[in-house]
Amino acid sequence: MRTSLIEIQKIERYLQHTASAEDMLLMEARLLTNPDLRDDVEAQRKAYRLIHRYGRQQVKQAIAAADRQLFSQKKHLGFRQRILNIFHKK
Amino acid sequence: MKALILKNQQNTPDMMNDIHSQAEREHFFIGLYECAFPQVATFIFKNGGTLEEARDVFQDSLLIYYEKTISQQLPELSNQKAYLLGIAKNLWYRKTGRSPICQDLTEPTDYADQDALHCQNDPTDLLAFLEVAGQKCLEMLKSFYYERSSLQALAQSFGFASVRSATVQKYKCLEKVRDEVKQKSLTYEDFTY
Repeated sequence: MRTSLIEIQKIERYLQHTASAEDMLLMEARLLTNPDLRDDVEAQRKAYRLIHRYGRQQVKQAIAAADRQLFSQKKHLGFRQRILNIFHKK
Repeated sequence: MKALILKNQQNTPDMMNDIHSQAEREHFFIGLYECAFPQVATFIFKNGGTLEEARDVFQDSLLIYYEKTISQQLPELSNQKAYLLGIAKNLWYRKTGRSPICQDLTEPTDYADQDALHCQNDPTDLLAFLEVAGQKCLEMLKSFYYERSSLQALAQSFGFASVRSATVQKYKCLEKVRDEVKQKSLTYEDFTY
């Protein structure tokens, strides 16, 4: 693996707290003296957030699509009727 | 898929790994709707809610349930349908600002980021930002970091000869996204849920 990827791996282990105690300390020390590394760590943290948001967005879209299908498609009429009956008991 | 859910009632991360396409995911959620929504709707109705509110609460419940499943945070329960109902009840109590007189201790309450379920940011912006990595990279990163697939599963799903190749590719993809983040100098707020 090339050097930059090894560095990404080290940052990942640091951020996920899966690095050894020694490596965690080493990273902390490097962060104190290396502003570029600090930028890399912060950018990587943001990258994880973006990926998580993308994943969540896709799940939300699938849930919304499932809801739409159940409340619009003819083949789900029985289910729909059962739900509507619950709310028409007043 | 529906049969899997209803018979086993204990969804596992491995099972989630089998859900690759959006169509499969939709099918999976339809199964959960058919299994648990009638009870949730009855509960919401009895507590003064509307059908629209029941659908909203259930959609949020499904997201929480899904994320708890992929992060292996689901407790060992024989009845996951009851667990889903528990999530919905708690979301409803929170939404209406009411607390149950007697709360079932098996009902989950620890949704660390449930307030973040309704991210208002435009999804198009997010996609435009991430697409620099390419679709395959994006799916791979999502699969590993969001759905928590194993590297072995990643290698299989994305056609890599070995776990090592998949690992290297995953870091290359992450590097692309990270470099884009650095280039665009995005602020912390841009990533707040």
